[in-house]
Amino acid sequence: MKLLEIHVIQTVAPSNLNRDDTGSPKDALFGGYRRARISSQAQKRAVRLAFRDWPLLSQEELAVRTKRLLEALGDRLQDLPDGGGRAVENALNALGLGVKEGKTEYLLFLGHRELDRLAGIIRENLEALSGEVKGKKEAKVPEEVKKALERVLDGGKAVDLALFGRMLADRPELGVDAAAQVAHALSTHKVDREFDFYTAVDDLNPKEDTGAGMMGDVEFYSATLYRYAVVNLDLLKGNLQGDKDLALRGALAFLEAFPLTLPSGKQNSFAAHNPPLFVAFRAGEGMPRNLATAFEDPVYPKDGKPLSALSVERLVAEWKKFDEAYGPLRPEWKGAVNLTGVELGDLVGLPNLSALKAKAEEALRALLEV
Amino acid sequence: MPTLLLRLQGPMQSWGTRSRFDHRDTWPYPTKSGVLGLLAAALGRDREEDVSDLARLRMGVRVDRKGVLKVDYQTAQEVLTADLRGRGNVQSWRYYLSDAAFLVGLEGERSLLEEAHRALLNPRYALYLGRKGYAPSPPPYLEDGLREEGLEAALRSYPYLLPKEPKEDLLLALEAPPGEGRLVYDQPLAPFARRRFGARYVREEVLPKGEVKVRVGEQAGA
Repeated sequence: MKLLEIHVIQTVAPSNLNRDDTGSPKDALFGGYRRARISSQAQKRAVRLAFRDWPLLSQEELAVRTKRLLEALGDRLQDLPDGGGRAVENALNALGLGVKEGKTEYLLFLGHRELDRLAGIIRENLEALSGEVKGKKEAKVPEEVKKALERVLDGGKAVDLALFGRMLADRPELGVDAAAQVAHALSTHKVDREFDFYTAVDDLNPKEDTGAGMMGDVEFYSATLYRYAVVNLDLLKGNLQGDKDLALRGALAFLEAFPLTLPSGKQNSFAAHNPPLFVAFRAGEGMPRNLATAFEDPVYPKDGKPLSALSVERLVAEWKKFDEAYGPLRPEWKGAVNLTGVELGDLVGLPNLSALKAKAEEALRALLEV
Repeated sequence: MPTLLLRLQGPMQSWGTRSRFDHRDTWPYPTKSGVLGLLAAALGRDREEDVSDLARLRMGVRVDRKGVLKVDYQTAQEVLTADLRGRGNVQSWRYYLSDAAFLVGLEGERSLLEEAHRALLNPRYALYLGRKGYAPSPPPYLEDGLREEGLEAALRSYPYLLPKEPKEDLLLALEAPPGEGRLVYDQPLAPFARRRFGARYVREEVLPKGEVKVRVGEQAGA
């Protein structure tokens, strides 16, 4: 497969970014030791929000989750006498998206573009779609119009949908296989449970009463995390209906958002806004490879070096070892932004994230044939 | 018949056999449906496509490190309720094996195994260990993974996956004729999109640690 891989080493200060049902930060065992963990799904949500909020992509390149299709389509057909009223309803019924009290039955995850094109087809076939609704029977819609409507529901070239997928139990044919795979982030070292025991003082305590108003504890840890993600570029392009330019912009948006976002659990109490100390990409054709095994033997601080630098050393060594064992990608592009000062060997060092993006763009253009 | 060996190793993996709704279980070692799904992904087969040729392969597992059973607690916000009347927050408990390593063997027709072996080196879709976020590390591909021996011999003779000596005897789980051993509901009966699985018999044996070949200080397959 043609792929874009991202490897990140990131040290976060004491925090509790991703919790389980008891409020403890999530963990996993690896190499026989307990590690800090940030789940895949939590990282992906942070990326989705960045697409929308920074914003990295325009609204029409993203999807919307809604039941209010009637309104959304009505907005697009405002100039028509009754806002397309009956035609819109007939069109949705023809698609099997039953309309009840102005809303569709399901919450639908639709690309903004899908909505635009639906509106377009309704406008073009206004007459054919204006049949009377008799009792419980649906109005008759010509077969070719029905087919044209069906063809619209193809993901609408929404980048978030193409990267992270969708599943509709009732209409599996509308499902989209996610093009991005995001591993659970793990600490490169072992972590122990740490508790912050706290007391809250009652401000209006009388002098003779010295007890606390309440007591409790919060669990947390600090961690040097290894984070990994890979995008299947063929699948991304396929999900975006062969739109190479959009696939390029989508992959670049992911490359920018993934290293710079983290879930936000308990950040008001910890403010662990620590950007990555190492970001590398690798693009080309061949076998994806997660480098977590570099840390199977947990990293211990030594020689006065920080965990982050030692982790990058390990990662670079594992990268080289895998290159020797399985060969590089063919063709291959790679590069890294490295703030730890560790020697990178033949991994191309780059001064900043924009240089990394530029280098990755060169690779993506070749791989996506833009 | 020849055997194709794969390494299923990573920080997290999960091999469900009877997951429904919010509680997602894992079997203690890889399931046939899961392993064939991984091969189908490597080969670029769509979920709607026929996998009966893969389903005919005979599978066995050697448990090199059994891992620890843990749970990933997940929440999803603003999910529409079944009666469509409101939105709620959904919780889900996803069981997984932390830190496990398995050697998996598939015995069958040579040409199919050769094709699968090549596909593992340049897979069509990204591979994962039971759930999309569970990336393998190191990769499932073993350079010397295509063996002339049958399933049981190949699993017994291949070196230990970890670069040290096994601490305890290893479990071997081999596909067995009907009526022999324990039942596992993981035999694909139709394309994966249909989600139809039947029963399969699995015989469990112990491979004494003294009989396991070891390559100390060296990553197997690399």
